[in-house]
Amino acid sequence: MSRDADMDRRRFLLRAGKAGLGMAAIGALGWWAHDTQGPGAESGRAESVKLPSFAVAGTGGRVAVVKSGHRVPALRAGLETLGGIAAFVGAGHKVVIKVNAAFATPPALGATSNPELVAELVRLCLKAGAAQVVVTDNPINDPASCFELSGIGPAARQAGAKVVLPHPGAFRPYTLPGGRLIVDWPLMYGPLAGAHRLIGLAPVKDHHRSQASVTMKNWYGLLGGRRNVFHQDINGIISELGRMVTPSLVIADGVATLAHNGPTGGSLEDLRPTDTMILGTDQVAVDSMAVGLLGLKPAQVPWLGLAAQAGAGTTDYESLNPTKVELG
Amino acid sequence: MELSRSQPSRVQRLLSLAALGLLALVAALMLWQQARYDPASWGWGGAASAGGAGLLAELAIPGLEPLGPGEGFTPATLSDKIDGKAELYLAAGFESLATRRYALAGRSAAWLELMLYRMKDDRAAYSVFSNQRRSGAQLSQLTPNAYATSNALYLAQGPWYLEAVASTPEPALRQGLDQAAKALLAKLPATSSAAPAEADLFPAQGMKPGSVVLLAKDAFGMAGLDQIFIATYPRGGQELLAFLARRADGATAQKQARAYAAFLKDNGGNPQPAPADLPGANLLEVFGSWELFWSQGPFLAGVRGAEDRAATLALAQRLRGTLEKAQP
Repeated sequence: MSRDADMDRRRFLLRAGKAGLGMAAIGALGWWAHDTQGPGAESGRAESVKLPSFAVAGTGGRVAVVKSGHRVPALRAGLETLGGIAAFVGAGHKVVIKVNAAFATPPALGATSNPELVAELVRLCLKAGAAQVVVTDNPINDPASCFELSGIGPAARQAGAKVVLPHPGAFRPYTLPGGRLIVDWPLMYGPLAGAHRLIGLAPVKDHHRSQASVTMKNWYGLLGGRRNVFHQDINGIISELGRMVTPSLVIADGVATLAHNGPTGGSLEDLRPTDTMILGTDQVAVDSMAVGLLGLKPAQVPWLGLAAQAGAGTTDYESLNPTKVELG
Repeated sequence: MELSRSQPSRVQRLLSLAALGLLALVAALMLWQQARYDPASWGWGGAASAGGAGLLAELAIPGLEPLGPGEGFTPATLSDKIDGKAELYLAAGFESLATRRYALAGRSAAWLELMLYRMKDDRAAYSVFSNQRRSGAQLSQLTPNAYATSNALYLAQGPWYLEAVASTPEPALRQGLDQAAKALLAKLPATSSAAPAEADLFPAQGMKPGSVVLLAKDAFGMAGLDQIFIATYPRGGQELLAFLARRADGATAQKQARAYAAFLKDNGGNPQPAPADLPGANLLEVFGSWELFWSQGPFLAGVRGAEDRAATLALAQRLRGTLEKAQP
């Protein structure tokens, strides 16, 4: 006779009750752990932020073009032309330098901001009285590797800057007023909190998707989340980035231009010496000049026109009477 | 019936213990495996693990040491590695990417990175290889489609495309690139490494060496104009572009020629009478340059982008001649 035959009603009810209790306990545990809200923005439920203008009063529409094969002298000359670093950075300021540290590639490839240039800019800001200089980016590749292998991290730290890598607490939801794409999107606000000045420092690069990557595209590194969805509307997102950020100053490094196979490049032969650095407070004007180093006219680059239409600056850079300096 | 609490038999007890022991063994194996997790071996998803991650994980290169674990990327994450250039690979038929860095023994600052792309087939690999070919690079003997620049080595082999990039152009690293490629080629399955047959159908005389490119998708801005081969012919300071594509049959080629003519007309092209010695061809003047194309058996072929009408016609006649010989 099988053991089940020994079962009477009392034992059956007892076992059924225990099994029921077990199932109820597991169900209750699942209910307790269930997230009824579902996954939200990666910035969590943090309060959304507004991004202030970092423009410096009285410096609007200034653009300088320096012809030189050497970055550090070009930067110094360019800043001098714009009124000196003191026109932008004052005593006690917190200055944020948004570099392009997108890739974990060596500096020689020109896919990232040049470390010597970053270091010199940090030194100049500190010399002008800045209380703190923050160098930051939210790279495409692993952030720690990007900052180390690009040389930006060590160079910036050695010059006295604080290097801030992205971390979950740094992101806050942000909506661009009137924006179509940047809506309730994680913005790397942490390094910008309390900042007095924001300077963009980007190399001039060919870009497979957007034709060119200069200072406005560089703000892409302030976004978090699955931002690659924006590649489907690359012109739209760059023009919105231009509206999102009103910088104190932008610097387009075209001393060597990544002229082919951008934005990553890979071969030293992808670079072309163009001996030009463009600095200015109108990022649309600076980028419009910079795309010329790639053999493009502003009218051929849709995001420039969109940004200008949206009021982020002008593609007619000559109307700003850019100061041109040629170093020997 | 007498009520009694039955005890499990000896066999049941042994079976239960065996089952518990098996579960404990599985848990121990999982913990052990997780402790020595190597992303290079597993990638970030099914597609990556089916690609080259395993090949790189077990790759031994004389004189080089792995610089950390490798990484794997799928179509969904490719842009996390190469940003906007992902579109080029995705359009061509990207399946997975495996990457790993290696440094010279004892010199972690002197490193190279291998990026092994698994494409859907040989043509897809040839497409990304040819689209990024650096002009002036040295041909490499490693495969029929391989070249080296001062700091990098690129090759296509079957459905694989390898980019090997060194941090500096120093000789030891260049040698490392060569050794890495050889070690990897020895592990890749033996497949065809020749260029697709269409690449040999362009007239050889006057063609810029290494200029044959396979445009995988939406060539010349026209949606659906896929799998187009182009070759460049420098002439008097300008470049003529010859193109061809083999279609399933003559009717398909004819239909696409008509569609391309309509596309050009919609975009400002001005149709002209066909040249007498190229009956049935389409000739359009598009903002000062000429587009001449036709269908020939299963081929769609043409010449575009030149301002010189006579040169366009001459190259078209030569291309027509080589295609005549190629048809069965």
